Amino acid sequence: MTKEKQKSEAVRSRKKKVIALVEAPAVTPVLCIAPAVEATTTPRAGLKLETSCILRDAPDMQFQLLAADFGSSDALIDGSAVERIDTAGLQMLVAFVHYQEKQARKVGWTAASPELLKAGKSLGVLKDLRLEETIASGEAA
Amino acid sequence: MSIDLDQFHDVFFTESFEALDSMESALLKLIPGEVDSETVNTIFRVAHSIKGGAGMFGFNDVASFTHTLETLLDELRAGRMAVTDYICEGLLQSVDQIRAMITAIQRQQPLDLSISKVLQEDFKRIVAEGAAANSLAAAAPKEAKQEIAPIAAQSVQIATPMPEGSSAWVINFKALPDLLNRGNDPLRMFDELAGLGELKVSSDCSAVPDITNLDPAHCHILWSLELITAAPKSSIEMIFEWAEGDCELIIAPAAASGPALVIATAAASDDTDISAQEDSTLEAELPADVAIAASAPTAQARAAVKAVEVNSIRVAIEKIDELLNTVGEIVITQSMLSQLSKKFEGQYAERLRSGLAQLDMNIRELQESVMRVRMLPVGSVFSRFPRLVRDLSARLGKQIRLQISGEQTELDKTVLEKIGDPLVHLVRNSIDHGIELPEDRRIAGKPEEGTVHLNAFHKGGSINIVISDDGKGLDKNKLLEKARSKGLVDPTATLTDEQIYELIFLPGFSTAAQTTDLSGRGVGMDVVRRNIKELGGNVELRTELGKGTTTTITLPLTLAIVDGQSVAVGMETYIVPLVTIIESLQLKAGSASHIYNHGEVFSFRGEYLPIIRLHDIFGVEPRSTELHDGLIMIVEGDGRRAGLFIDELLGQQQVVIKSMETNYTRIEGVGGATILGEGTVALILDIAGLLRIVPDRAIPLRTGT
Repeated sequence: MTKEKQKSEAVRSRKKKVIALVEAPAVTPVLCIAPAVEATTTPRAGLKLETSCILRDAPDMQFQLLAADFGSSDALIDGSAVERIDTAGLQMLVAFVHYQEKQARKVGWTAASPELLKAGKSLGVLKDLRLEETIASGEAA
Repeated sequence: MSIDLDQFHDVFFTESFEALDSMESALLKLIPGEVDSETVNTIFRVAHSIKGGAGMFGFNDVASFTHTLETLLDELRAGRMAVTDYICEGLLQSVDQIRAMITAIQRQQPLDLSISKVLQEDFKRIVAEGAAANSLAAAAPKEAKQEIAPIAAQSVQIATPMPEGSSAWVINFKALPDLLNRGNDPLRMFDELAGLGELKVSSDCSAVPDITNLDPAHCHILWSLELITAAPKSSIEMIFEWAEGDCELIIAPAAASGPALVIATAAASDDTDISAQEDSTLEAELPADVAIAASAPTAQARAAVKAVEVNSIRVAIEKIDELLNTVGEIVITQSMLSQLSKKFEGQYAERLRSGLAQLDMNIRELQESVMRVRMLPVGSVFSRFPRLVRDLSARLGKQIRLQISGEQTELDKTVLEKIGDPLVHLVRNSIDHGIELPEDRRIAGKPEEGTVHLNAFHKGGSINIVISDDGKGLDKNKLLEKARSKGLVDPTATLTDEQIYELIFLPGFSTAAQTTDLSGRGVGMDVVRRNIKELGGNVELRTELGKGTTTTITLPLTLAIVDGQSVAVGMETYIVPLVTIIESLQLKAGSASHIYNHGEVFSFRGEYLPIIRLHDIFGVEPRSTELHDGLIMIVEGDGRRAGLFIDELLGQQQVVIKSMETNYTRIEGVGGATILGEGTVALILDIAGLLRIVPDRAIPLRTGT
């Protein structure tokens, strides 16, 4: 098996584990596997994005987003700390929005850094990220 | 956990080095005091691309350095700061620095950041001083630029009246699977596009899967962009240059009244260069409005698609060598079959031979085609010289114009890689010792500006690279005097002009009155010749006092095959490269002599040459040990001559070289091996190496006549 295949297998198997955990009600093992999630994700308080959301960090970011538990509340994201974000990071957020909306959960932003907004605007994905409404209502950081 | 991007590092390194070359070329075109936004844009894009790639791969020192550089370039391209000599110099140094940093990363060596830090501080200071010098009015838009524009205002309506000289373009962009992994970030590209004018970006995220099914490295977003710019289409294409092969791209002119009209106009076109299947592939995956445009592209759009499709691919040189090797094997097998076919008789024998002759022709064509894949324009080596000439002439206070021609002439990649250093040495010599100071030139009745000319062209089956200058040339009397004083030439010997010029290639020979750190230490011309000889080439020098010097390098087109003369020694066959053979002759009995410490010698046109008995060297049984029974082949290598004693000349042929080092081990005096038509192996002689084995005997003893 090539190195690339091994890598994608590893990512895929990790994804599977995470999906299983997310689909279940919020359980302790999630917190054991990803303690960072515990600190940054609480219902209504919002999911706080890391400072770096680039391709290199994508697996961790994917893990964090998948592990986020919003309960029956809206999915609120805090993007105020984002300093570096690229196309892969933005696409990940779009995918996250898709997923949450499929769960009939509304996505909103408590804050968004200028870097995040600038990148979203450059790629023309602000609407897909549901950030347009946030900016219009003056909530962005 | 992070994604393993190491596998894409090589592509990043290669592309970065190429980009740095083009950045350097562009920098050399910058004229201090003049505003050339196109050139500055080109330089900016390179810095921006390297920054993006470096950031993505985690080469933070490179990313940080290019970020500072980019800030300065941004000021220049916005016209807030003028290009000065000082800035030009700093930018050129930054190219060197980035190159050094990337080279260190590539070789997994620690980075020396001392220079980059100094440069970074200097750039920051320049930018800060420039900002302070600008008026408040000029500073205001800079601040405004950093703000995030309100969403409602972010779309630029294409119907907006366009500035004079501007054009509107529609760009459809679809990422292919490896785009992101190769360090190509659409975000960076679109930012660069925005730098060209007014950009409206529309995305289609419908193909993005939900996060549970997302492969983060695979980009699923499709884009349609509208750009109003005064820049030419080539500037837009250049932005996507690094993504070539990793995206589907359409760049087409738009009508000023909006996208709808683009579609209507597009539908009127009937150009059918691009197949319907290709159109439908794009159509199925692009956003709806784009798909309509793609279904009936305008002639320009089709041309754009065609331009993208007729692009190049990057292939590892090992794969090409493997292919070339396989073709070489086929040539040998075919040759064996041809020889075998001569033994057949009967009604089908002639048809067999005719078929094999056709096969031979086809295989030769295939071999030439594969070898052409390895060929690169010599311009890739010449491109380093404008910088060299600029720097050295400034340092020496000389005015020098570099003239380059024949840069499209193609050479084998390996030859090209190895010819760079000898060329640098020769050009440095021209600048340092050839071209005079402006005042001296004026006194000599020459224009103050000297010329160094680099030229490449085909000649026969070889490539010639000529380095000429209109400098002071070499004084042959001084050359001879120097050689005599160093004991390199017999004081009583009379040398022809050609023989005097040859002296310059002797180890340790230099006529420079003063050595400089550039040249003149007498180390070099012998190395230049040796390097060129190792490539199977030759170098000659012609000079005229007061008028200049011309050095001609002759190189083989390729190192994969060689034109050789087959010779027989006993039952063995050897191949002698034709380029090393002067002539062959038969000695009369008793015409060879024994000289103490020099073995057997014979007189050949005024000089005694040593005799090398190949059967002794290779330990084979000759047909006869008597010199008059066999032949003497006069050969030359590394400026020395000798006579090879062989049994018989067999014939001339082009042979495929098989490396001894790869297949066995390096053997001094043997350049490689080949398989002959009858299936036997023949060694290809390395004449220079052979002469090194018998150093004492290879010293020509001049007769003084």
